[in-house]
Amino acid sequence: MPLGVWFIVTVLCTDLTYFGACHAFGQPVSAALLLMFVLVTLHHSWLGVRVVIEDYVHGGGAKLAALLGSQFLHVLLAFVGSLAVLRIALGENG
Amino acid sequence: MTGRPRPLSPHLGIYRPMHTMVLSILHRASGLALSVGALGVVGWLVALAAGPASYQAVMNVLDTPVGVLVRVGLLLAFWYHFCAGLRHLMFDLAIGLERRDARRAGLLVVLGTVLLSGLSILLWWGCAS
Repeated sequence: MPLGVWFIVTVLCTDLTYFGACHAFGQPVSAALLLMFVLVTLHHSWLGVRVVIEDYVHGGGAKLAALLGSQFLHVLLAFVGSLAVLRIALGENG
Repeated sequence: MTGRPRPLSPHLGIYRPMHTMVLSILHRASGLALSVGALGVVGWLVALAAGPASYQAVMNVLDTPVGVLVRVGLLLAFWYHFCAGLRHLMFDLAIGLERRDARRAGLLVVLGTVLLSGLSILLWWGCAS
């Protein structure tokens, strides 16, 4: 939750040009916070979506497929997002 | 699924809509919207990592009126989910479970959302200009 507030405030205040964004999120501390934000957000989203699927998707097969699909998508996004953050932090514009 | 019909518990349809119920539904709806928003944030990060050209392409979409509307919507969803989440945290600690207190906290959630969203938009404008 504090990470979410940090992310929102930073994004609102950052000059969102390419170099502005690279600079804002490329610093080691910002990159670490951004990485944590991505992972924590997706974990929370995974848990939340799981509860919604459990409540509203009926039928064993459909429910299982939705749960596995959601889990796969969340894990995929966590990896993709983490790699993107690392690339921003380690790139020449960081 | 099969066999004789099971007795049903009282279902949503028989209740008169109550504002606490609307708040609860909105908490789920905003959560789902924010999950989609998380997908968008990851996409934005990938574009930023991929270089200036792809980043500019994404920002061009985000700067269209629809893009701005979606961003403002996600901002509202974020602050609503934030405030309502605090309220649920309070309930988990068994604070404010009386009906009157729960309703009052619900009102505070709405006020908090409006206030924090308003401040965010002011901050956005202030930093943009």
